[in-house]
Amino acid sequence: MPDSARFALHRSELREPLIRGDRKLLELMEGSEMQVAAGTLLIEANTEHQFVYRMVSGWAARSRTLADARDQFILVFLPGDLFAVKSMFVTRHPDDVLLLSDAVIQKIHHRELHDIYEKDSDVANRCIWQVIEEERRLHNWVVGLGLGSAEERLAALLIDFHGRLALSGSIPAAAMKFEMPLTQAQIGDHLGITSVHVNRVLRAFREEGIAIIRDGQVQIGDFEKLQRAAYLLLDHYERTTPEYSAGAR
Amino acid sequence: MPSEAEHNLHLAYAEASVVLIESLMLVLVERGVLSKDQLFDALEAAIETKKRFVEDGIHAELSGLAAGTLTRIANSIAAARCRKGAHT
Repeated sequence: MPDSARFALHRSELREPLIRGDRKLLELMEGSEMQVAAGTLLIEANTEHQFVYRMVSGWAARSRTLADARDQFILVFLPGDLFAVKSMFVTRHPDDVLLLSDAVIQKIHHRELHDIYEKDSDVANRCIWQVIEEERRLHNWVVGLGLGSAEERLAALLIDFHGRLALSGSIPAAAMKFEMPLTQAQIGDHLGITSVHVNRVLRAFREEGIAIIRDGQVQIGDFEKLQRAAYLLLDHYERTTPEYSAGAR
Repeated sequence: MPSEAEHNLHLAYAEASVVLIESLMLVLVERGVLSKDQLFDALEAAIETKKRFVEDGIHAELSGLAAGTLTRIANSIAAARCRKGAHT
């Protein structure tokens, strides 16, 4: 399983090295699977951390909590994603990584991975790729937080989740329903708005037939309306990749 | 000292008040009754007040949390959808 955006916008000559690197990482991490319960703090901010992970199943988020208790979800990790790749290069993670659902993850010690990273360009390409992909998502999210309305942010988030879950094989490309284990407060923490505001946006989406989010499930009512709501915040890859829009008819 | 039940009741009142005021703010912005700038003025005055409390050591910890909560609300209001033609 490749990263959850299946090597978005990669140069064609890198496709085979990335797939080989992915396969080699799978072999390296084989047997390291562990079950982790929802709510587990996998990485505590500002502590030393030794491991790099791959999400086999489940959801996790990188988040930061300010001293006055404000939280911001920075990135959400989905099946197929490598995460905490920075463990290879830095001693401390500045942010928490929290499991949002029960999950199965694989892990590898940073030193073991770095040894192979230095010897095998396929593995190095795959690791660097994950950082590039995170950068793509972060750039999109900065634009969303800086320029997007609450409605646009939520629509873009749902399209991002749908596309990545479809590309990773977690849901069919045409699925109109998928599990999303974020609470209303956590959605607010990701969108940069309060729970009250999330509630109003969810109600508007429900009333306009765009989507219903309830009991950890997203039911998309009208994919075209959802895309229209998100369109300005979507990058070229998201606008042109069928899995991000396969539900639209 | 209030009992734990009384204490929790006061916390619930406080929480309900913030939720209600924020909800009203969103309605006022969405319907174009008040502009976002007008609400920001009000929110910034409240944030400044709570920050001053922190500096002056008046319920400093709670005031810091309150300033954070108000800042979060201000950021959230900034992302609210305005009625067409309403001032932002």
